[in-house]
Amino acid sequence: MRNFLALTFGLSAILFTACSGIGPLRSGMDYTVEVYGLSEDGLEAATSTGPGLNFPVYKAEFENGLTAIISPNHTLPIFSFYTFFDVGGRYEGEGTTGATHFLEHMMFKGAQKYGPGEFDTSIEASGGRTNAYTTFDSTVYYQHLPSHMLNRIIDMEADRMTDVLLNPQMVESERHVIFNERKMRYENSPRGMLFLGMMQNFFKGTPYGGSVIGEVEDLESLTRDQLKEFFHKFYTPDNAIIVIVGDVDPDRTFREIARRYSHLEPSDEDLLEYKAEKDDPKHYQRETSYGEHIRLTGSSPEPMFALAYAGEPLGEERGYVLDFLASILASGESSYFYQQFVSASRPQLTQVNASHYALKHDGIFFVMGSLLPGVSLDRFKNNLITQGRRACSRAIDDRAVQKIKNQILVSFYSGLSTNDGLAHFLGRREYFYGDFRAYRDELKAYNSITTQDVRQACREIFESGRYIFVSVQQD
Amino acid sequence: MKNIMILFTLVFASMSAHANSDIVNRVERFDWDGIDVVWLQDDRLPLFNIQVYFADGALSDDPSRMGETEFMFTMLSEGTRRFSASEIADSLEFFGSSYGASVVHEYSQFKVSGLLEHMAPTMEMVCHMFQDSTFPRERINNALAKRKAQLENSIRNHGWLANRAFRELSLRGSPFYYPTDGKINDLDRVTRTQLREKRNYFNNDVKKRIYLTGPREVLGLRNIIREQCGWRGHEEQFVRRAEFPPVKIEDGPQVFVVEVPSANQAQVRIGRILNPGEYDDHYSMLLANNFLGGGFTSRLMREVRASRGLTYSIGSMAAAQRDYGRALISTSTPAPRVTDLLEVITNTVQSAMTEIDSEDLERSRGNLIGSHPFQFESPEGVLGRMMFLDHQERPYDELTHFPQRVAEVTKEQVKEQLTALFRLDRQVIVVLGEADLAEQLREAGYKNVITMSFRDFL
Repeated sequence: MRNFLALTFGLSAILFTACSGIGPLRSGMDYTVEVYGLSEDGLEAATSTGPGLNFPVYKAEFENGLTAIISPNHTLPIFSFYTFFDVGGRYEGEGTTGATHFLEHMMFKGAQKYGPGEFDTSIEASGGRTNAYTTFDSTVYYQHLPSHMLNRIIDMEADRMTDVLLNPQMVESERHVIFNERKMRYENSPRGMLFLGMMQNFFKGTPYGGSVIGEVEDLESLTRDQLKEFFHKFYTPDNAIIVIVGDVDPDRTFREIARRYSHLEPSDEDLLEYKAEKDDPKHYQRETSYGEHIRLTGSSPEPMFALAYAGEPLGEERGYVLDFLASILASGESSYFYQQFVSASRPQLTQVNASHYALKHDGIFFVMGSLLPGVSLDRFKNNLITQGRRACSRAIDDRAVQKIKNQILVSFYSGLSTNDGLAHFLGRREYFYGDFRAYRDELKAYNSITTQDVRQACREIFESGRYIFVSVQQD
Repeated sequence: MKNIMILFTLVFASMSAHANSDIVNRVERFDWDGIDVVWLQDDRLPLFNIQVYFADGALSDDPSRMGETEFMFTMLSEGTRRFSASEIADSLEFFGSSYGASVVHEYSQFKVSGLLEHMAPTMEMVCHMFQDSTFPRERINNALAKRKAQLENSIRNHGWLANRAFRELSLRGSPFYYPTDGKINDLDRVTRTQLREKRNYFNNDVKKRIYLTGPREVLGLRNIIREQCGWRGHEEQFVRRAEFPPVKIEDGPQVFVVEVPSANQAQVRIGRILNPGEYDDHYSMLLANNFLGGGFTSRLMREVRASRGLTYSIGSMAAAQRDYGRALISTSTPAPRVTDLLEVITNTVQSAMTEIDSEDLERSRGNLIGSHPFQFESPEGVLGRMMFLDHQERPYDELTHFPQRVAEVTKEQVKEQLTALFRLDRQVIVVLGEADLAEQLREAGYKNVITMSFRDFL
């Protein structure tokens, strides 16, 4: 999450500009291509120093609704390949929690043309790596490969978008793997337990109020047919975005995509209706019990805690202000809460952090930390909220805001310095905002943030009284 | 099929070598007042990155103050005669700079990175910390209290605890068994004077090397290093060498259960120390390890996770520092399945020692060779590799010849390596979980199962 934020900031003067138009007719299916270039002058203006970046971006829209974005970089004979699917935990129904994540695991277990084991084997034999992640909002597959594997990965990704095998024996074996993952991430990890408890309680009554891995009883009862149905509903070309960055030729690559993905039909009206219904704001009315202290039991001798308030959905201007607030409060050793609670002459915490987690339909602003022995949790809770209020006038000034801008500029450069980082950067924006250039709006929002904005958001948060407090400690 | 695979491997090896040699050719070396400096030019971004290598690490610690080196590096930013800890943090973080030390037994590193335009003030502050840190008593007490609490609470992370316990149990008899950060009461009596002496030792006696990436402007650091850090390479020549009698590998396996409360999952570590002479055949060791436990298609991953669903993750490692090496299999499983897991691992390792399918081996070889160019994507990564090669006293040409060397490893060498590294009766097995695991293991036929508390490792 912080990486995401870091990648969005500090580019006010960098411009992508459309340079050319429609691509010629290709074999497979028609598509249009637009070419974009990064303005070096713009970068100079943004950073006031050093050499510039220069990477072109090509975007194609295919006849069946598939979108592909390519940014060539021939420095090394390697590339990164991402596929974003518009399906996440929020589209699951009662009794099927964890289906999205389960299916993500099964997507590596064989498809029509490439059977069990062939996907991983082909990639790893070439020196490549592959993995995926599932969130409430999206499912994302990625590979990092040597250049000569381009056509192969296009073929393999198109193959597993065509149909997934779901071998019954493998479904059962993978079910155990997922139980193991659940044990590792939540049941035996107080940190994971705390995060899950916070999400469940804060987003109670909404699709975000659960676990992406799924509830145990649902995982036990999920059937192959349910997974298959899930696959056919969501794994369609118009529900996917491909991003490729690295040593590839855009024209040849688009042609290859057109050839390999052309047989895939776009989704029917049902999917649009299903998504529209699931995304209806009525499902995102939280039933949060504000002011509640939820006490969880886990293997933590001293309490760990989370103090959570309402955040903003992705793309909201106030959300960017909350990003700043989180950083000023608890990012680095000079941050306000670190100085107050960790570095103070009478410290109360071993560590503290704060984040604003923006989701597609909602958001959460939270502070987490771990108490030192002898510190009363209840007293600390009140102290934390009091210090949060004080921070609004004491911690937020022009220098603090500028410090966050400097930090994020460094993170931005570092993040875009690899094929992987750039591919993820472009893909997330295309996926969440429908246009990878949407970062320009983000940047406008960031640049317009004033010290006053951050102070106001701080007061709105800490004076609202609309929080939940979650703690984990052993019996 | 086999011939095709080998041909493919060689063709790709040559391609990788070509791409990587271009990067290695961009490296320049300098002598800055007796300090070796390695610069990898990188004009893509207005960033700088500096890694200072110190040729000594936690092995320099006095037995009565284990963990002192790591603590000293951590405390450098906790106050100088001119600046408080908060002023130092605010100054460096305002620039967006990152900084920090990492200490292992044989050597230490201090890394600094940030925007090029802030390089000079950042490094001036870092040098000031190295020259003028005062280690205020109040800050020492604050840091020790946090350190103790963090160790007491390490039960939160079973994987971390298992690694710590395994390190100590498998490296016993060598100088490397003790944690570099020490144990919970080791630094109770550390003084400001001792920390200043330790810092002065690293400033004035220990050999240093500097690794840089960024545009040409980063070479401007020379004056800051000389004037502000005050390092004089000609006079700072101490290099730590660990000399120890080979650790006797017991007949076994030796089995330890490290008890933690309330765990429905068990962490499992299997491995041993590699004495000098056991890790010289670098490339066959890498290939053998990749074959056994590297990636999603390794033997272990297929048998333990894909076929039986016994774990979410399993992997192996066989690697060396300069004066010792380690072999390790690392995984976790539901507590009631520990003996099943061990049986599958044992059978998998056993069969890998005797039967190596050529196609599988070529897949591993292809993986190692094909993944090589990725190590050159990040300049910091390349510098890290160069630093480690320098530390191990191995030549840089391994970076460009790596694909060819891996291509030359034979199947017999891989079998020999697997047997040498992972033969089960030579291993230390550490199982971290609830107390009843010991009984489960005894019932399954494991002899001399020793039970310990996780507290023994804090």
